[in-house]
Amino acid sequence: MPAIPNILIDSDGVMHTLYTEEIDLYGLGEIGNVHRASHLIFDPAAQVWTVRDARTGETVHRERSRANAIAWEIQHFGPGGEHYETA
Amino acid sequence: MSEYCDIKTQFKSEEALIDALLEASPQWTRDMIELHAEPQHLFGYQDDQREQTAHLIIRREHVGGAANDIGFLRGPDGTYTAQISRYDSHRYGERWQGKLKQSYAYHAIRRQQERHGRTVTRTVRTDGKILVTVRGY
Repeated sequence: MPAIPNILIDSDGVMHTLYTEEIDLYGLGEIGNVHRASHLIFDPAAQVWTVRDARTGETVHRERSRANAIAWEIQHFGPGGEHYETA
Repeated sequence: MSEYCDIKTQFKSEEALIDALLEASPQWTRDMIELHAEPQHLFGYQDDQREQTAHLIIRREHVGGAANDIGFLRGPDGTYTAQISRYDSHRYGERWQGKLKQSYAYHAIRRQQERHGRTVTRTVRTDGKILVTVRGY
C-alpha cells in the first residue's frame, strides 16, 4: 500500500507537502515551488538503498527494501517528520 | 527520491467551500447559503442591485449590519472567486479569507480522500497551521 505524506496548511490556506499522486493535488489548487527533498540511491557495496537529505547530502536511512525506503522518506521528510524542511 | 511542493488553494469544490464557510463563520447555517446554477446578482445594503454576480450567495441580512451580499462566482475553469464589497472587507478581509482557504483546504482533502475509503484527521498547531494526516491506505 502506498504511503501518503502529511499536509501542512498555513493560515493563508497555502498547503505544503511532498509531491504525491495518492492525493489529487491538482484538484486542490495551483502547484508550485517543487524542489528536491531527498535522494534514494542504491549502495552496491552495502547492498542497501540509502536515503540522502537533499540539502545536506547526508545519508539518513538505509534499507534493503526499496518500497520501505520510499515509505520511510515520505514519513520522515513530509510535514511533521524529523527531516521536514522547516525553512 | 521525493520532492517538496506547495499548493496555492483554489476553491474548486462547492461542497468543501460550503463546509469552510460554515466553519469560518459559525453564525451561518446551511440554509443561509444560496446555490444557483446560473449566476445571480448581488444586492447592496440599500437593496440596490450590484454589478457583481455569483453562483453561491450569502445574503446581506446574514452578513451583518449595513452589509452587502457576499458571493462566489464560478469561472469557466470551475474555480470560485470571492465577491466581497470593499465595505465588507473589514469583517471578511484577508484574515477571514485566509481562514476560509485554510478550512477549505482541509475539507477538500477530507472529501477527496473519504471517497477512497480513507480517514483524514487534522491537528491545529500552536502557530495556527493545520497538520493533516491521511490514514487507511
